[in-house]
Amino acid sequence: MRAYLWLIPLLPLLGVLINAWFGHRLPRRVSGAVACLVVFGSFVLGVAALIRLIGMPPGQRIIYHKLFPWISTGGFESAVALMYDPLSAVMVCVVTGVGFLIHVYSLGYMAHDPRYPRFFAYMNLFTFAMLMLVLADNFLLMFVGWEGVGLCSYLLIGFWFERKSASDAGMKAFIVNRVGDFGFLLGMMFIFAVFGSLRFHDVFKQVAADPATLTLTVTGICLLLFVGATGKSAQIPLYVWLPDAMEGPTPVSALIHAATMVTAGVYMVARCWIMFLNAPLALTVVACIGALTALFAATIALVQNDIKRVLAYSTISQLGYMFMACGAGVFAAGVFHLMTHAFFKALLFLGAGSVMHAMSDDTDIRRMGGLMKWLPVTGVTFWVGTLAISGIPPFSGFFSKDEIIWSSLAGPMGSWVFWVFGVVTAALTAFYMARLTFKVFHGQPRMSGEQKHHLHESPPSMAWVLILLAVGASLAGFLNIPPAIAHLLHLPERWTAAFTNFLEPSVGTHEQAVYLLEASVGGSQIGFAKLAHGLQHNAALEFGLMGITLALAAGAILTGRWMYVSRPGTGTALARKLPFLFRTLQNKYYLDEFYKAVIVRPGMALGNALWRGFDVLVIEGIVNGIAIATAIISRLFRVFQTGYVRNYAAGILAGAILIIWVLMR
Amino acid sequence: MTAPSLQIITWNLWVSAPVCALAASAMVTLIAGAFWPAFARWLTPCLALGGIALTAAFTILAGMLGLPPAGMQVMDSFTVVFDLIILIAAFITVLVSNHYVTRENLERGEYYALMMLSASGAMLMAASDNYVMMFLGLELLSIPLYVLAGFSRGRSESQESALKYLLLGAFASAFFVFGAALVFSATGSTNIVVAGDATERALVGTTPIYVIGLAMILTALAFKVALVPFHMWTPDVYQGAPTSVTAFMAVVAKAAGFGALARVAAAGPEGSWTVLLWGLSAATMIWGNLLAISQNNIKRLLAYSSIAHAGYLLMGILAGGRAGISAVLFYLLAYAAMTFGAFAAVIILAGRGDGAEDIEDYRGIARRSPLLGWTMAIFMFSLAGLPPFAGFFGKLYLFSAAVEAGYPGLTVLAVLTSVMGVFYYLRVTVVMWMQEPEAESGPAAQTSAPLLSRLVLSALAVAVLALGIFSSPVLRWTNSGSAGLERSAEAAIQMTLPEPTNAPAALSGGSR
Repeated sequence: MRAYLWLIPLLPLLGVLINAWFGHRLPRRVSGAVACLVVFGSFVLGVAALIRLIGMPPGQRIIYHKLFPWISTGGFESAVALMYDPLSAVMVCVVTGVGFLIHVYSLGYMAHDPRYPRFFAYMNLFTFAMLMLVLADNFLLMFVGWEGVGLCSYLLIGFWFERKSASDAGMKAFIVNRVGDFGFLLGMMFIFAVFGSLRFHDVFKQVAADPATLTLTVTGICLLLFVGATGKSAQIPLYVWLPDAMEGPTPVSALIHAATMVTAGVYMVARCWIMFLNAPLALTVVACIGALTALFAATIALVQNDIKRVLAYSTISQLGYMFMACGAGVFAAGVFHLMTHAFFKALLFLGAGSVMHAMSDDTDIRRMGGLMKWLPVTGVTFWVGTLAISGIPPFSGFFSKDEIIWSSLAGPMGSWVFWVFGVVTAALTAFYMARLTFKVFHGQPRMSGEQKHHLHESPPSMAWVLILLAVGASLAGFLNIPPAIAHLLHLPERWTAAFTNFLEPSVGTHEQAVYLLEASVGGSQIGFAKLAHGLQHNAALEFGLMGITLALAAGAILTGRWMYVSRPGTGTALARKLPFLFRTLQNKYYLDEFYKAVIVRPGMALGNALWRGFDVLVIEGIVNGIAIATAIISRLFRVFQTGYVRNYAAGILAGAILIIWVLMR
Repeated sequence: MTAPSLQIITWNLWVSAPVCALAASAMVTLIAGAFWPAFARWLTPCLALGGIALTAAFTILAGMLGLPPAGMQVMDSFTVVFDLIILIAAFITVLVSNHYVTRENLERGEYYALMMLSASGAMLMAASDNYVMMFLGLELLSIPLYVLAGFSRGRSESQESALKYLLLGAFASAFFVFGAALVFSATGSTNIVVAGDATERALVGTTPIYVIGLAMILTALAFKVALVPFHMWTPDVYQGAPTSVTAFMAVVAKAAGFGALARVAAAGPEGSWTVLLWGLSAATMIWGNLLAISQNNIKRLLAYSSIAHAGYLLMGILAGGRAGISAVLFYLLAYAAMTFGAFAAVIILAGRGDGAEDIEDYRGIARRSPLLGWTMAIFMFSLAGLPPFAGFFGKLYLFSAAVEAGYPGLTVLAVLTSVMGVFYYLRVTVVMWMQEPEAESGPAAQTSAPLLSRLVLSALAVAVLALGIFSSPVLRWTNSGSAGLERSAEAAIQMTLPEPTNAPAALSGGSR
């Protein structure tokens, strides 16, 4: 088992080397096939390891594999060591499984790109970095992966760097992520200063052993780590880079900005569950940011007209859901949604890519309509994705979203407020997805004659990927049937909440969470933890709330149909009636402008001032001063550096006398 | 001591087996080149590589035997680690040289033979615990180098370089011999440890004669590793010598000097000795980095860079102990990989007749040859000490050893001068990557190279990266070397103590 764990990240790295060094000499077919096969190889190994893991007794499902010591100097030790536990296993399978399908899709999508091998080298490099991130057994190695995915994201968003908007978007993603990374880095240093180690195992053991006294410190650490998570997972206030990241090729959007990289923040929070449960304040911040982001991004998605941007805001919103679940203390729900979301969001993005392919790279949904006739496979699979993300049973989104909404109330840190946010967002989600789907695939075609002439279904390699992802998006939910439903249908025990049970050794049980929270705050101040404990088994309430959510979602879809198919003018009319609201949403609450005014422009002004005042005068003064001084020294030196041997010998003699003098002193 | 028996003679032979093997291989190479000049082109480098590999095998074997000190030479784990570093360096030199000597028509049998002889001198220097043997090593290292420096007979710079190196080298060697004589006259021994120990036992202070002798020996070694103010020959000689010889000099000759310094350093008198090394180290890294900034010729730049790195390496010697010496060994390995890499790229870029050696000639070269652009960037980043490359970890270990040994001030200085280093190393990268090639001004850099050169270049870049990523296992290996050095110093004292002394505290005097 251990023997091949290291191959999981190594295979994609091999792909990078092959494509980077020989890519331009290989035939395209080979270079693409290599890139796909290495990821598939990692997937097979990941699944094999997962099966092995399931075969072990639940308490011992963890495999450590120390590859080699990395840095060992004085008091600081860090190894390159991998860890495979249920949480890592889920992440590895999602990253490589969905990643593989997206690689295959790219074969067709990028077929005409001149930088084909480079694209696949970057994609493999990204997979490698992401695998290091989720397999690391310490914070430092995780940070290496963390930075690696950031770098790849920059490279891939700006892949078509000839387009200024693309290279700008890459830059923006990189800079915004740097802000978050800074938080992560500080948190990591803080951890080392307090615990004297960066290994997950050591740190968490110390926290769990003494929750009461460490709360304050751990709260600080968790908040810093969460700053990192908001950057990578595009939460308020650092979400601004993700919508712009849609400038990259569509498979990149699917792989990085929907299915994998943006989930790194959620993964990190879930990985550090012990620390977060020891810091109720930080957990509340996580839940609030998550709830706010979920609602906020969903409202923006209502009025966007770019097919990829709608999906981008939807991603931000869904990530908000995941954080809300983590913040409520139910990490398993967050990770479950992470997994189902990977399926249906990858499906939706690749569907959007297929639409763009047919529409000659047009992304404006106002110029689409009725595409179902020309793109039946894309249309049907897109509908599967829409129903899944809207939480309609029996698609996967229903199970995961329902669990999150229920946990936001019944979790150890749950509250009615979060529940309301969750339900409203669910309704909005169903509505904007219905709007998108109806506008693109139904109603009257609105494209130009030229575009209409070119409409075609995507090649089989792309269509098959859509079908496979649609199957995943439909069925993944059954991995985690909620206990209430399972009881109702008299399902066998092992079908009930199978995913949660599998994950619990990694992210804790309800009882463990309550214990840690109570220990952290002394047991009295979080009253709702006890209330929630009672709620846990209230099946009637669960069904009732589930019904409300479902009714709202179904209603929203039907409203969407009514507004955009039956009465196509309604949306525009509504927008005219509420011009202020519409414009605010259309302009994303003017937040980009706000950032520009408050951060970017003052920053530039400060930069300019520093440049004129400090740089030119002081730094350049010093640099030029050094240059001048160096020139002077050089000239002085030239008196010695005559090229005459006798002068050099004199120098040696002088040095020898100096040495003797120092030693004899 | 007991009467010498046959057994001791065999032990002695084993102790010097690696050096002998390399010297013998050099002879074979020389003779083969002379008898079959028609095949010299490929035969001599192949023989050289084989000889070096054979020597490595001998070294490992001799190391495994666990030989006691043989009187003049020691085959402890320090020698083994150090010899292997030298042999790796020599191996790379042969590979890097191949393209150069072919292109510049220097391919005579003597070239590889001289290089191997010089390497055997380097090995002898680090393996000797005796000043006389060390001197022999020093000369064996230097004399072939004088010839090699002047190997491109057609170029007057090469001639000038050789003559300067010869005259100054002879001057420095004279210091060494005279110093060794003074040490002997003061202590009655030429053994490094025994002489140092004898002084410490005999007097409260130290005898002036011994100190003057030691100072003169240090002068000679400082000349060899190019410490300020004994460095002045370096830029002139490095620039004029054939580039492959320059690379060899920058790595092997420097390493040999540090190998000897590691043995000698423990013998120095306390107090003023550390002040002296502190000062030399500080002066060397400031001066080397400062002057590197204003260089336009890449070989001169690398010469000053090698001076600066000598300053960092001296920090490890000053820190001493297991951590310091181990860091020095690691750094030598890292330094060898990145310096050879940089010179290998310089050899390719210079083109026939070494036309393009100014940094400005490299404008936009990365566009034309991504391989050269990337590998050179890796070497420069590593030389500048940026993570995750070997240079970063080398510096990290040196600096942390210095901090632990109680020299935080020097470490701060080293970090600051490293920042200066970033400036001129990155300048090379910037010129290669970001500047547009100017049409037809001056000699343009070349990018075409035979497959072997390109492979060596890539392998060195990978090695620089790998030494960074896998630094800990390598460090553990070099740790065994520094442990061996400590053990030999203790053993040397005990072996030469005829009867138990009545001052047991002096036993620890050898290892400061």
